Amino acid sequence: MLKVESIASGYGSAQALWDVSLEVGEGEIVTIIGPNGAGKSTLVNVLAGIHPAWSGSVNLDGVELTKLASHEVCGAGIAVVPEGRQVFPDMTVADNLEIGGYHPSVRQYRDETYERVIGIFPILADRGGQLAGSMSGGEQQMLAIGRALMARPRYLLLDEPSLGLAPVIVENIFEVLRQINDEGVSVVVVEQNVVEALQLASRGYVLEQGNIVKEASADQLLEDPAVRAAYLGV
Amino acid sequence: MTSTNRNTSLITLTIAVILWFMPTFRETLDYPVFFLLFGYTLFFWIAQASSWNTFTGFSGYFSFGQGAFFGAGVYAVAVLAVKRDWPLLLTFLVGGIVAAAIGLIIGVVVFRLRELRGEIFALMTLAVAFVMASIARVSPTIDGGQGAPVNNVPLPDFLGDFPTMIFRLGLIVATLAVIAAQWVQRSRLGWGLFSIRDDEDVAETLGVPTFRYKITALLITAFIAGLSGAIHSLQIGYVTIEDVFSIRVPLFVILMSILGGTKHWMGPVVGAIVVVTLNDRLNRAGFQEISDFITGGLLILMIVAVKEGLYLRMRTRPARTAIGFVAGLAIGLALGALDESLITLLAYGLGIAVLAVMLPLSWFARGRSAEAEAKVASHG
Repeated sequence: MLKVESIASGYGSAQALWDVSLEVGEGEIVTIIGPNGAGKSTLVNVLAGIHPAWSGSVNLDGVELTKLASHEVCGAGIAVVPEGRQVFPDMTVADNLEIGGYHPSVRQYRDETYERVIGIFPILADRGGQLAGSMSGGEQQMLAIGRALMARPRYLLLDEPSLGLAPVIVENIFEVLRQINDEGVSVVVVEQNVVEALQLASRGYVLEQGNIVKEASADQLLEDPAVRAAYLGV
Repeated sequence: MTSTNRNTSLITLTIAVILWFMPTFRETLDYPVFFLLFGYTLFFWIAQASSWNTFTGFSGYFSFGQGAFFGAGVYAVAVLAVKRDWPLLLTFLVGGIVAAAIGLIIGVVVFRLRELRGEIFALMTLAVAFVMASIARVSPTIDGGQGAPVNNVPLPDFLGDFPTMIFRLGLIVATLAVIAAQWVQRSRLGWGLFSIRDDEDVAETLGVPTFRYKITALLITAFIAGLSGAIHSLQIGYVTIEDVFSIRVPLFVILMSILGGTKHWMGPVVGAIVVVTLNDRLNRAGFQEISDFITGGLLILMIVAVKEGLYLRMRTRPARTAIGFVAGLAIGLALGALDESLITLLAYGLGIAVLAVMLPLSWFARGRSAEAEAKVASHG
């Protein structure tokens, strides 16, 4: 279980997260939705260990992640797909995937994991020798997800996976997330694309101005008048 | 990415061994002593540029610290060998270690702070050289502002006379620098550094121990730069703060590496050979006052025209490179370059080869679309 308790964080004197608590159970798909500037990316960065928490705790199956160096967090079982894809553009697709399986704890399974990843994204095998930066946005997102999977995470954390992608590609990506979840990986999606995210997830949190203002099942949130008014424009 | 393997290093070592015996057969081959000194200058800059590139080129952290590492090496010899009578070879090693220690301090301080990426890091490393220069200036044990002579040190005689000795010492360090760069490029360390260059945060979340890798690479860079500086003190003869800590070393290694290309170990080597050869010939042709000006202008032109660096450009266009080189040699021969020196002829070959790969692609397109060319270029 990923248990986030009372996380506060920010930049200099600007506080971005005030008191964020949430839980993601084994095998769940959970979404965190919220408007621009709500603190979504800060939360992802704190969970990933690349931005320090001022206070609070992030606990993954008994391991306190806030105390780990950021390159050790992925060894604890959490992998991040950063916002805007962020593949290594000057490296080949194959090298990007190799680096995903970089952590000592998963290095021995690299070939096996690679087979699994290209089973999910066959296109990555076809494009193995191509520079990642020359691929289309959707392909780069697939690569970013594939690269995260190479770390054999139990929890996959995605920051706005739909950003800048055509609707049909988004659908495709979310379908893959469901498939990954079926294989036993818990998925946390941080999204502005509220409808898609809530259709994928079983539960959702609403993050506004650095606070969790609502937590409910995805169906409830889809029906929630406040959510509908704020995010769906109806 | 890793287009270098163990065989590359074996070839490098073989070339080094052959070069090692160059001075032995000087009488047989009948070439002037100047060749050895020119060779040393080449080795010095290859060592400096390659070592700089091992950290900066691979990791993307722009460092002006080369002057500080180089200076530490120079002054290690000037202080310990000259004033304290330490054995010369030992002071070389100390020069490398002192430089590495400075690199370690810079790294531990700067890499801890996430804010100090990018240009702040570059300025920090530049500041270190200024601080070191000030310390050397006020400290009578180091320099005291008077300068320090590095002659009359007992030279090890098993390496031969002075030109032979400096040639061989330079060769050793250049070989070390190049083999280190090759090793880094094909190792996990190099891989991690490349991912840091592309996106450090992402690399970190993927489990790349970025702090440790950056420190390791900076230590390699600093040690080799210091070692090379220590040997260079013998060549300088009289060490002054103004010369040692001038911007020349950090600036030239940057120019050479960017000109040759920073993504491959061969880039700085190519850059150093081109710049040293052209600079040397310009000086010899009587353009001393404006040779830096001309070199600088040429460099700007080349860097704009060949963004990925000469080496990768030459590799994707081997035919043009070869034809350019041979044409250059022919022009040189016709103009009587050989009457002056073999190096002049070499300069013609290099110069024309560089021009040939610089020329716009469309001139040689032969039906290949510009798009396809761009793709080839981007794949390097």
